[in-house]
Amino acid sequence: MEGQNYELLIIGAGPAGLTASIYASRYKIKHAVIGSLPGGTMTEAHKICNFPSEPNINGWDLAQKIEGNARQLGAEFIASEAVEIGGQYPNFSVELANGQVLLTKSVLLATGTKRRHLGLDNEQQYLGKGLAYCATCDGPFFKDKIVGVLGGGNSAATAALYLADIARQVYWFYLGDRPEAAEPSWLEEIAKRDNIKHQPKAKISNLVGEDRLAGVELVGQDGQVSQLALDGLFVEIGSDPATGLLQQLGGQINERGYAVVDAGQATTVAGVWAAGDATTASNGLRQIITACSEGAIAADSIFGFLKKN
Amino acid sequence: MSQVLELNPGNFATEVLNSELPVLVDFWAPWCGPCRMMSPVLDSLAVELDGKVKITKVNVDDPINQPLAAQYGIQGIPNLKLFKAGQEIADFVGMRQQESLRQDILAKIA
Repeated sequence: MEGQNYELLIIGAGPAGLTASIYASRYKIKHAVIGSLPGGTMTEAHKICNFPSEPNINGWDLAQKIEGNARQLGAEFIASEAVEIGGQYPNFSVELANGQVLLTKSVLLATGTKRRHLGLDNEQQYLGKGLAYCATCDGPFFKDKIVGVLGGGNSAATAALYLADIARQVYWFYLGDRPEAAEPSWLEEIAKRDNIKHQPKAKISNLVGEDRLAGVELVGQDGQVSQLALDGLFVEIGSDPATGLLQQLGGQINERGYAVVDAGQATTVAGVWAAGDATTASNGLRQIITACSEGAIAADSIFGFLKKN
Repeated sequence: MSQVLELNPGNFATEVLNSELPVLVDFWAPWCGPCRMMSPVLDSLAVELDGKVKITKVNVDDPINQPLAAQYGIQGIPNLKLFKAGQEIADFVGMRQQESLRQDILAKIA
């Protein structure tokens, strides 16, 4: 149809979007990948051991390999963010943060997740002044310092391990008795580090300091408030699905905000698919490999759909 | 070719502290994904704000620049500091969209 630039726009350049592009290129689907950071969230992982053929790689390097693969097969990359989406099959319009509007027949949403913040009033005040959300970005500034990591999952566990090589002391705060959501392999490595101190049942109620973060206020189970001096606090308390664009189109999300998809990664909106961490697929196992898998399945479904329609 | 000027301790005083134009300094590192995301934004701002604000960057991963990072208390990147008449007048931590960053810079130097 006249004025239509693409058969497919892939929104998101993480492992789901990049893999979908690899498959779309092989299927000769005219497409582009929209995203300002190829690799997305995975670029922040300092160590990945469970991606087949890569027993020990950092997220940045793995992202570059997948991006390189997609580029080699001819992917077009648009370094921006999609802010608005409208229309319906076969005429969707996608507006980018730079004001550009692109037209496409079909859409794959591979928008991943957004980090959760602490939700404390003075959080913004300490951002970049002791409070951090990316251990691989900001960890090197805390050489020989005392830092805390907040969260009970794999991101927190790997952040604690990464920081243990840099900082003098790492306090690992989590809500339960144990860091239930962290892989046993990470816990085994953490147990070998004598500068990582577990702080179970820890609820951080406030950040303290003047120009910079000087410590945190903790509330114990008995309601007692105590303070712990820290030079830095790394927040790794999980993330929420970025499904705003799907909602703009009236697509279904589940009670936790994830994009509802079928076995072929199709959303409830005709001509719109979703893949990666923001979907209900892969039994909720949100890993790089499942994102790649969902991207491949989505591209295959889109190929079949475009052929028939 | 990027118009963003690379800084080091040798040219920091001339290019920033003694600059006639206001200067935006991007403290960044190659291993920082969000910093990489800011790079095209800064390239674009360098063109848009040409003649109004000088856009510069300091690679804090380079050992030669680490004293600058320490001097300006950098503990999180990307960290953009705005200087006017040799004084730091604002700082912006974390990812920013181009439009809102441009507006904030122009408001601060007005």
